[in-house]
Amino acid sequence: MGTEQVNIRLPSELVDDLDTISKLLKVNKSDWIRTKLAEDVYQEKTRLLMELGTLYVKGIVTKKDVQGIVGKEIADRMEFLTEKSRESVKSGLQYGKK
Amino acid sequence: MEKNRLIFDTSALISLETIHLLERVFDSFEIITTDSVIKELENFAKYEDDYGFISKRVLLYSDRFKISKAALKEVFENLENTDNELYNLAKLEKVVVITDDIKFSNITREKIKTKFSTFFLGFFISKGGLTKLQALERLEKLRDIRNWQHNIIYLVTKEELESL
Repeated sequence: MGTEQVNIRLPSELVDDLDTISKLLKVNKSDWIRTKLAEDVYQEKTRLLMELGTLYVKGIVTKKDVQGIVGKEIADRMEFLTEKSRESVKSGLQYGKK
Repeated sequence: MEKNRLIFDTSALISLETIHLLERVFDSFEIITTDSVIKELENFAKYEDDYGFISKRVLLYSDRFKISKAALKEVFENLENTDNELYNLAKLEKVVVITDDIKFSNITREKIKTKFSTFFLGFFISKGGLTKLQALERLEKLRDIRNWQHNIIYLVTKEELESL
């Protein structure tokens, strides 16, 4: 996996806290930050996309809106999921009538 | 009467057993799967978590599955071997695949027919095996165990069921 350097300034107090955690857990400070950040980013991304998905299904935002916010790939996937979900349950309903 | 045939992947078998519909599906359909799906279930079954517990229950039906094989004539590089085999089997047998694997469905969308396991919520409502309320309760249960991207499968299915 490729990496990129991101420079951020942190308050001294937070850096002190990170040092304390690092010493207590006997882990590398950068590794710990990376892991925590990855967890939070994943959770937040999931939560926000879920909210966007809800707005899309309810017709409050269009595919074009979604594409404008998060790009074509996610917009296409939301469209696909919506169609496939509808088709799945509807075809089950029809098939059960046979 | 000859039963209709459907191919099932691991995700679909787990979903349907989670909502206690798998046994009923056997009554109406011939369930086709592959050895590699059975192996996946056996691997899940080694763990003492929800998936492990459900996989053990699915494996109790092992003798009722029709196990088929298909040569990997066409392969999608971004799919696992298990999924590529299911894809080739679906093409060979011209049978619909029941899967809750969004990636698999999306990648194969132009080539084979797939349906989410929510197909059976509709099916059993029409057949009289589930009431609308029971189907909605089972959908809630499915959402709890499935990582359904962006919650869309849940929302759309709920909307469709509530409109009945």
